[in-house]
Amino acid sequence: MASYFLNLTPLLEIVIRNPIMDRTFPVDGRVAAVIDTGFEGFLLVPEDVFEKLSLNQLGLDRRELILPNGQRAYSSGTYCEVVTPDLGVRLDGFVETLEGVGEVVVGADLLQNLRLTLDYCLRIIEVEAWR
Amino acid sequence: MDDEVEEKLREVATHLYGSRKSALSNVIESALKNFFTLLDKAGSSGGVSFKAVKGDTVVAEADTLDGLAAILKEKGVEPRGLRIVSSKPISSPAHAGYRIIRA
Repeated sequence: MASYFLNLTPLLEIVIRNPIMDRTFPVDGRVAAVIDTGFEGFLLVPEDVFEKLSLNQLGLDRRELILPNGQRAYSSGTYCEVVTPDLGVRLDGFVETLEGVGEVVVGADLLQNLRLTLDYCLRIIEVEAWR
Repeated sequence: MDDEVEEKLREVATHLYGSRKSALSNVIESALKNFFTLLDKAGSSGGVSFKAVKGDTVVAEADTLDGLAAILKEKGVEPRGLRIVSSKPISSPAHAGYRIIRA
């Protein structure tokens, strides 16, 4: 099951890789990432996940984020690979972290590579690789 | 074709090409070309490439992170402290979405 609803929250199962440092999260299995079309980035992860992937050992870029309450914050990030095992899709993109983030979130920059259908009535999510 | 779409199509064709016989064909052809371009753009990585930078020096360059990692390994470059740069710039500021709750 690559994608599903948990209550009303759409989730996508992924594996996150840092090929540069040869790290994978999770080491076994997959992590359920929240699909948030309101997030314009590629991937947002909690600080401990960022460290487990040794992403903090690479040179980091900062990005200004606009929070839901209008406040601004700065994330730290670099690049990673996201794998969706059931779809056989591997995507490279910017992964960032920010204090207070408690879950893995996939955003619009990643989702633009997929055909995503959310059926809230039937609680069904369809995700397909573009090609 | 949906009536509303057809009506809009005729309206746009008349506006752009007047009463010429080929007006509808021109608009449809133009719309399809734009659509195909959009599909091509969505289906490709857009020619993104990655560079590994150490200080001011580019030590490796590849189309994927896996490719970059392989080059670095082959060259025996210590990856700690390397800055990875993409040819696709990061947009800033960006909306963080609704999942972030901060005190």
